[in-house]
Amino acid sequence: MTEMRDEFLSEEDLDLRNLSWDELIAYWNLWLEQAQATNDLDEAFYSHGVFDRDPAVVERQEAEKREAEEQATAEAYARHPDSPDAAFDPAVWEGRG
Amino acid sequence: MDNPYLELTEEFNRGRLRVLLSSGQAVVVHRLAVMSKDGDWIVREDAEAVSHVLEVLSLHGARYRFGAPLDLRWLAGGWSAHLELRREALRIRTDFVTRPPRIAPEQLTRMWNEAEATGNEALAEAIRQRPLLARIAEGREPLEEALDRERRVLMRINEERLARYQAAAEPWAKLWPDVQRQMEGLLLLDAHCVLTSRAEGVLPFEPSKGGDS
Repeated sequence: MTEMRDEFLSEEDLDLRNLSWDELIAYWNLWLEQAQATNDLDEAFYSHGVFDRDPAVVERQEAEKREAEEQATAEAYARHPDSPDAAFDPAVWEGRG
Repeated sequence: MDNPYLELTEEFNRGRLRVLLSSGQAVVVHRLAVMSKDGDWIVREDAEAVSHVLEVLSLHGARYRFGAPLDLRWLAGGWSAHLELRREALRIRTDFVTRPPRIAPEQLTRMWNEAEATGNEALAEAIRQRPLLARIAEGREPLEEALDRERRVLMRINEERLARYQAAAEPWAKLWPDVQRQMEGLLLLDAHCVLTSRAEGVLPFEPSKGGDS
């Protein structure tokens, strides 16, 4: 039976102690590169310190969201100007490409 | 081969120990885990240290994120300053405090002394002496329960601490989009002047009293 240990459980994390310094740096840098994939998602947030989110980013993201919604609404009405039900029914407009 | 956070730490500390790498990236240096993409440093609370850090960041083309100015008047009140720079494909976020939470002033002094003595720039053992650990002799379960209780209490204290700062920063947050527009395109040192002058009178040097900032 494997004894439970109070350590981080990912295989890579458990291996960190056995890496050479150069290997550790290479893995660290690679991890940082891969972590850039979430930059858009955490643009407004903070991982440390006393602030939790950037109000300018939140303001911009909300404006972008409003703009996208307005554009989608306009496009929906353009497709079916006389029938709001059809305009907002994905089954109708998704099939229209 | 080197790493952007280690290189920045080296530049911050060129000629004198001014910063301690802490939090997520220090955890990597200690080979515990790789789990954070932002860099956090504890800065020595003196004008030369803060000014040097700002100059290094300026040379790297950093820009301010929402936060307090990298200025002793705010840092001494427990605020954090946040800057960001690009290095090739990497977004490098740099966070600074001079008064890390949950570390008593005398403990912080001891850490600086130890770091000076050992030349260890990474934050070695932030909380080294925890009386709770004296309960090890009672066995695993009582110790785990005590540690869990301690963790929950610390989380609550931290939530209350953050709430105080966030409430104090509300007027600053409202102003921030405009401040950011004003800083757009400026070199960091010029942006810093704009930032400090706009923050004066809006972001209090200390949030409301009553806690562990």
